[in-house]
Amino acid sequence: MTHSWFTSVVRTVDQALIIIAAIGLVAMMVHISLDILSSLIFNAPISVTSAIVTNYYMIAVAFLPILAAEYRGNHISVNLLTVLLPEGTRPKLETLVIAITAGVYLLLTAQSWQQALHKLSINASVVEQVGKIPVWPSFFILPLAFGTMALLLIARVVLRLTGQNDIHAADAAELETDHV
Amino acid sequence: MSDALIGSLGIIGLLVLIAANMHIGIALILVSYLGLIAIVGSDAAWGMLEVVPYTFISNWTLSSVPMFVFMGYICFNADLTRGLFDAARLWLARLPGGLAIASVFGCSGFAAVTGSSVACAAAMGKVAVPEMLRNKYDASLACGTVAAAGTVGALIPPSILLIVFGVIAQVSITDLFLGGIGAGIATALSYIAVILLRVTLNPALAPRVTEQVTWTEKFSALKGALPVILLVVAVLGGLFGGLFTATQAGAVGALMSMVVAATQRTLTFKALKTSVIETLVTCGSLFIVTIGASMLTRFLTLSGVGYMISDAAAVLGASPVFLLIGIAVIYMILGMFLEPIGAMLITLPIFLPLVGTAGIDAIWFGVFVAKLLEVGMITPPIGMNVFVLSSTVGKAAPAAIVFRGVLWFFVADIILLGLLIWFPGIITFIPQMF
Repeated sequence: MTHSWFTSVVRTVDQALIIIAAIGLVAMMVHISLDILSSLIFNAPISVTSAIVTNYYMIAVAFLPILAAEYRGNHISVNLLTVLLPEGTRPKLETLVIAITAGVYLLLTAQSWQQALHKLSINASVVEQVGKIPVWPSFFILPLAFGTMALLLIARVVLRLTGQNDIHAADAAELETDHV
Repeated sequence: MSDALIGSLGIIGLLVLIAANMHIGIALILVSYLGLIAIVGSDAAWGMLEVVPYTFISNWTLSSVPMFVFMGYICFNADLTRGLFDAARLWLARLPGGLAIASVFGCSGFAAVTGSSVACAAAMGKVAVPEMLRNKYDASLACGTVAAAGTVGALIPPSILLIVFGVIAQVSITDLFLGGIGAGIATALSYIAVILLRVTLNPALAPRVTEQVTWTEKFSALKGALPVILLVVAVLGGLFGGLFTATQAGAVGALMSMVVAATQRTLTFKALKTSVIETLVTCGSLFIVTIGASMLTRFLTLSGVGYMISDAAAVLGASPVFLLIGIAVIYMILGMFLEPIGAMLITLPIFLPLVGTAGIDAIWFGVFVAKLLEVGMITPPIGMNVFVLSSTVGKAAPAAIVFRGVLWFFVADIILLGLLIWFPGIITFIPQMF
């Protein structure tokens, strides 16, 4: 497994997750706007809007881009103190912190997977005026997001321990964000 | 080991992990999880881990965050706010430091479509700073003004900081937004006063613009600003008029900004794609921290450490004013090292019970915290607005020059913070009218 192989896999997964989340984002905007339009003009809001927004769009928009934020180095953290460490120590501490972070994501993956299976088994849904809306599929978004993130972090640890370059969007030369 | 001791150790552990450059969200989750195992056992801790991420995120109020972030990025990437500065420039150019004052107006206007101060500083940095430098303005005045005025972005609604505060503190987002208006306008006015003072003391900082502007030009510039003004009126008017919830206002705002950009012919596919990706990356990094903060709240509540701190404050006989000054100092220090959202989320679980016991109004406190954290955006060593402005403008604005220019506005901020404590009405006056 080489660095370039890792990079192309990460890039593909990143694109796939971003596309699903982007659909969620745009759908959220359009759905809510249509709901308002419908309630203003016909006095008939779309009754399922809030259930769909909170159970589907929000879940996709909040969790799927976790990997994208990691890939682009945008997660909220403080690197002000670690830069003071000697050159020899800093990479070791970084690797340790990434490994612990991977452990936390594995824990989150296991828990959310268990929860998703449970929601599937009871056919979890929310009750609205028009009837039941199944919500169990959205519970599978969490293990997908956490699991891919855990795999990326594990890959980063392996690359670092074997002395190869770490994965960042910068070396993929496709940094679309201006970091604004 | 007592629960309160576990809680205190948890806070120390959290600081160590954050100092070791762990993502703040993950540090919060890890500490809360281990702490809860120690207090209530592994089954209950596992249960919390299962419940919190999904239930916290599937929240209608919180869904206003991606919508307002999206709206802000569309306005930024489609360059919708250039017209605001152009109009302000033509109307104010003849005042001492007129272009700098116009850029404060531009930032305040852009603040009404974006919830982020960094975006605000970057947007005006692109437009206003080159114009000021072309007119031979002192570089540190030009850059300092825009870096500082950008902070208005997180005060004037919409504001991502205030939404997140509202969700965590469980207070009305609309009231917080209304409170933010007072603080935002007070900030803008104090910055205008700084500019007038500096330029009066040293006219060489900002040579008078000699260009003659006709009334026809002035009114036609207003026409250029009109689409964005209408956008702001529709979105915020709908929100404060009770027509929309915050989420609905954000969604309508995002859609309308696309329509406005399309009519201005600035809605390119690239601008749209960049806006979507930037919005998602912001959400991906922000929400995991809010989940962590929600877990920390549970952990600290169960450990009772919050009450321990409140009791300690009561024993010390801390009056609300001293308490606020203490909190202000802590936020100023944290704001130097942490992004506002991170600093707010790791501290609210401790501070909210504290200010609640002291009888401090939650709306006022939310806006006060936002203002405090925004001061951190312009102070060294990691004043984000300064660095973003410096990189937007390029080599005319090295960070050192911008920091020098910002110093005057920092002094104004400190005075304003004092005034906010003295006259809480600056914040609470507008929410009370509604």
